[in-house]
Parts: sequence; C-alpha cells; structure tokens
Amino acid sequence: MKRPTYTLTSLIKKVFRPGERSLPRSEINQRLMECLRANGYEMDSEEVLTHVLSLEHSPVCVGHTDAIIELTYQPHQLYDLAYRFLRDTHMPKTVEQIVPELRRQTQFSWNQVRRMLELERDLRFVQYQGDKRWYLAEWKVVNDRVYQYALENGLKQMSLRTLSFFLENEVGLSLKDDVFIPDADERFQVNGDIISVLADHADDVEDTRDSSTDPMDVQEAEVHVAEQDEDRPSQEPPMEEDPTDMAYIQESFLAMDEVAAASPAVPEPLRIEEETFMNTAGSQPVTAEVSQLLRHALGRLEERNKQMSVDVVGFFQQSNMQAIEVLMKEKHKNEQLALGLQQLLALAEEQ
Amino acid sequence: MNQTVSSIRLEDRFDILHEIIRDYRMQLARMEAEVVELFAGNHLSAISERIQEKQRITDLVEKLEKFVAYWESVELTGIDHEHKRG
Repeated sequence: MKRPTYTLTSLIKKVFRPGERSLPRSEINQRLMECLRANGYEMDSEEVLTHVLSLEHSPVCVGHTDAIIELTYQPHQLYDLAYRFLRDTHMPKTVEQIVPELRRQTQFSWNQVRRMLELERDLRFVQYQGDKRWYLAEWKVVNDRVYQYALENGLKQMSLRTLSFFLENEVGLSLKDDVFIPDADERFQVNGDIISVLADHADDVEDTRDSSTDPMDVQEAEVHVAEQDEDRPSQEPPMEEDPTDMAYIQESFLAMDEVAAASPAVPEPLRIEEETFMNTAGSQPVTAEVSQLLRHALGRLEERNKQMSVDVVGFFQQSNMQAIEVLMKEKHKNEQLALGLQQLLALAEEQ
Repeated sequence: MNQTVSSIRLEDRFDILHEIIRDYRMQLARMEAEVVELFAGNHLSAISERIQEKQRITDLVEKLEKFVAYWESVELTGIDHEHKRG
C-alpha cells in the first residue's frame, strides 16, 4: 500500500497554522498527535517532536524554555524565489534543480545558495517519504481521484506527455492546486513515457485519504523489496543512498522502526502473513526471557517515574528550577525508553 | 470605650491575618500538587511561574507572620485587653 506519505519534518510543518511563529509544546503535541492519527501513524507525538528537534536543519527549535517550540525559518528572498519557481512550473523539484534557477535569478554563488536555502525550515515546502523532490505544502495530492477515474473508465495506461492535458480536461483537476505523484504510489507504474494503472489495487481506493500516509506503507514497501515482488521492479527512489541526506534516511528508519513495532495495533487483515516475516521457531524460551527482562525494565522506569514526582516537589520547595529541568530531561528520556520498550515488548509477544 | 472597640477590631484583624496566612499555606500545598501534574504534562515554563509565585507567597507569609507576631505581643503587653486573649 505504498502511497505518497509526508516525511515527519513535513508533518510538523503542517501543524503550524498561517501566521504562527511559536507554539506551546503541549499544543504542538496535541495537534501533532491528531495529525499523526489522521495520517495513520501510530507514533507518539512527543517522540516525533524530539526527533525532529534533533535534526540538523529542523523547521522547529526549543524556545526560551523547553515548553515553547519556535519556527527556525528566517525569511530570505531565495525562499520566495524557490517558492515562485515551484508554483509557476507546478512541478516538484529537487534542490539540485532549484539551485541553478536561483543562481540564474540572483547574484549568489552556487555555494551560497546551497548554504542559505534550507527548505527543511520553510513551511511552504514539504517532502514525501522516499522522494527527494520538494513539493509546495499548498498542493493537494490527488492520486486517489486519478486512480478512481482510471478504474471507472477502464483506463490501463496514461501518457506522461499528455498527462497534464488529460488530468485537467478529463479528470477535471486543477493544475494549479493539485498534484499527481504516480511514482510514489504502487497503484501506478511509471515506465518511460507510460504510466500503467495496476488494477489489482481496486480495494484500496476506498481509502480516500488523498495524501494517504498509512504507516504500513513503508513497511510494506520494505516487504515488497524483500520478496522481490514483481509488481515493483526496483522502483525505490535512488536518493536513499545519498549520503548528503542523512537526516532523511534517519527519519525513514525511525518511521520504519516505529511502524514495524506498532504493526500489531494496526488492523491490516489482508497482509498478515507478510508481516510475520521473522522466523521465530525454536526461539520461544529466549523470547519469553527477553519479554520478562523488558517488562522488568519497564517496571524500573515506572518506579523511577513515581520517585521523580516526589523529587520534583522537593526541588520546587527549594525553588531549584535547574534541578527540575534536569529531572524533566530525564523524564523525557525515560518516556522514550518506555515507549520503545513497550513496542519491543509488543513485538516480542506477537506470535 | 472607643479604645476597647478599636482594639477588638484590631484583634479581629489579627484573626483575619491568621486566616490569610493559613490560606496562603494551603495555597502553597496546592501548588505542590499542581507542580507534580505540570511536571507530568511537561509544562516546564508553568513550573517556573509557580516557583516565582511560591517565592512571592513565601516572602509575603514570612512578613505577615513577623508582623502578626510583633504586634500581637505588643498588644498582649498592652494596657487593658489581656482578659480578651484568655
């Protein structure tokens, strides 16, 4: 069920509303949680936030206290030019495609543009998993509509050359606001100039989420690769090996880990056999022991959590804010550990 | 006569002050419980505000207590109201 899926960094961008420069952490967490759920992620918002905060060109940073999250974006004409370039061409572009255009329009050198243009920070630009290109956040992904149209009209193939004409005049899409991303969607297969419509995903169309971000996508894409599924001849975008894009790769891995661990909670009846791709035969006693150890570790964290509630009152009485901050950091870490352990536990007990 | 009325009122004021001090102490206790909750909810800046508020209240309570202790003792050694203090 590979579909265009926002990267976590892009998802955070979607949380801010127009005009907002900073938000209380709790508010972000709440909105992010809604956003994650709406997109089918099973991840914890605090964990996602902590992860995105730790990225090199993160769109957000911690404000004057831990409780405030601010945008890092600083307006610069380069961003506006890049925005106009994408809007006017109405095509997603990689940084490598954007930089020459900005060099042409400004006096900045290639290095200067590369250094200053951190699209990760600008809310107007978003990326999808496995796709190095930048999209405008205002564009609406309409893969579902195109697929639906193709099914209803018995369309097996589309030509890239006449695609925009076809989308606008036949499907009735707006070329200004809508975007069709066939190569990030396993229902379509791009071969040179031809986009084939794969009819065996007819059931999937019920899933009407346009920018469908099912967490199973990543995992299933993995499964497909592992099984060398004939439906997907090595179409994985080449960027995953790009060493300059470490942040992205880490992010993908995080997402995959999360997804893999959270899979028991996601109802996905059609694919159950594919999910148990780990052979655990003969390892039963070890797994049981591991589960026990994990549970013990969770218990320790719980104990420490209770102790911290007592400690925080003590520090409060001493007006020791610094100690409370340290305690809070420890709490964050413990929460992440607990979450990870819970997922591992779920994985260990899933049989 | 006038003096008696005014000193009764002065005593009332001490009672009120004692009550205020008690309320402040209860507020401090409530704030401790609040801080535990805020800590659980990761509201660091709110905790920081509570610490400042606690500082303010603690200072105030100390001053009030000194004030009351001082003036109550003065009143005890006063002229004609010992019988009212039991």
